[in-house]
Amino acid sequence: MHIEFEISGGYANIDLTYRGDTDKLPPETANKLLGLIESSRVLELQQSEIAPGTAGPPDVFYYKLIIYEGGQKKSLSFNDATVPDQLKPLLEFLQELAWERLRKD
Amino acid sequence: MGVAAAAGKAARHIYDSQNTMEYRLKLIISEGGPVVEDDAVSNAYDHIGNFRDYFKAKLGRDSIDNNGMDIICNVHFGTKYNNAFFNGKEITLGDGDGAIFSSFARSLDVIAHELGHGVVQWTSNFEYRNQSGALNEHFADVFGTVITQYVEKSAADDADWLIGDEVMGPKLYGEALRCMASPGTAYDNELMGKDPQPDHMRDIYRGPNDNGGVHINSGIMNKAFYLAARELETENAALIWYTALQNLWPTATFNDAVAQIVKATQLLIKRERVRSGSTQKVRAAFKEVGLPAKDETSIPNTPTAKITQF
Repeated sequence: MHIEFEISGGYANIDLTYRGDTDKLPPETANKLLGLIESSRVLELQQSEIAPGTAGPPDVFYYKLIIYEGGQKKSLSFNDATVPDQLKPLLEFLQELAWERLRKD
Repeated sequence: MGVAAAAGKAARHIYDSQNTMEYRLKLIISEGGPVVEDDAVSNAYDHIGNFRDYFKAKLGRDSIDNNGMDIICNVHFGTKYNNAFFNGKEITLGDGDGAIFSSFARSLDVIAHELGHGVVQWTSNFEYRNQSGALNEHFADVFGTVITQYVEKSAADDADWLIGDEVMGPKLYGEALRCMASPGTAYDNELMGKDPQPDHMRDIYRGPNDNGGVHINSGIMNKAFYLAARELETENAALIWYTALQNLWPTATFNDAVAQIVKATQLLIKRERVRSGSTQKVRAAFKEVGLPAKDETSIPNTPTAKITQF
């Protein structure tokens, strides 16, 4: 499974992208990520089920999550104000991975 | 005809999100409650008090909505969450990751900035895109800096005019997120890149990122405010800007803002709230940044820039 995760905007106007393959990540990280993908049912979620976001509210982070799996592509966009509750644990972990990558680079 | 809502008491309520992404999870302190140990709670409570008191004492505004609405704040939002925002109802502050950013609750200018977005929402209600979005960010920065100067008892000449410097973590120590005195100089490092803010209309950002440059092009207006404040004193410039804000509208452009700010200056001179001669100093400040723009049609506003919109 290949994952692309983008964070943009916010008070600091961040532009951060994380890319990862679950078969190349450390096993502990990959297992946690796969578990959160499954428990969040993100692959079943449709963009239309996420509250439409106009530009704003001010300073929220905007997120774009793309998951490639088995020839399929799932793409979802949301922000801090519109993120569905079911995605929050996954979102928190992806944020942690993205910022950790930046800190190491 | 509707009946006006009863005025509130502008009470502060600070909630702990307990490192989840939940709002109003656990109430820690309400107005007048006992002192608590948690620095984030304590700082947020004090900074919100400064914001509320400044608006009441200096601008005659009763809380965010000018009707005494309570001010709600969530601290410890998310895990190492590197942000602060206003969601239309309340402000939310992350702890930062301790490396790139530190706690957003410690910074008065961050909290005044976010609550400033609330004031914008209840006045001009600028659309958060392109030039109107940059005005939204600009006015929030203005409130962030003027309230900080008020609390620190600093003047335009000795203030640092930096936004976000208090939340930079150890990896970015000494940097800031925006510099109102010299937009484009706030940071330059490997983690964040280089501050993209222009300080003149000739360099206005015309791309699609950042909702059409809301955090970028605000630098042009910020520089004008800085120059005006140096001439008029921050308190007078803030009064002029706030007066104009109440007469602006959701799709206003920079040129619209300039016109209303000049008009507000004239009105305040007539009311003997600011000195004669201020109008010319305000115009000179805007002239320094290329405003009003002569060919505004060439500058993207609502229809052209790609917006982050889902």
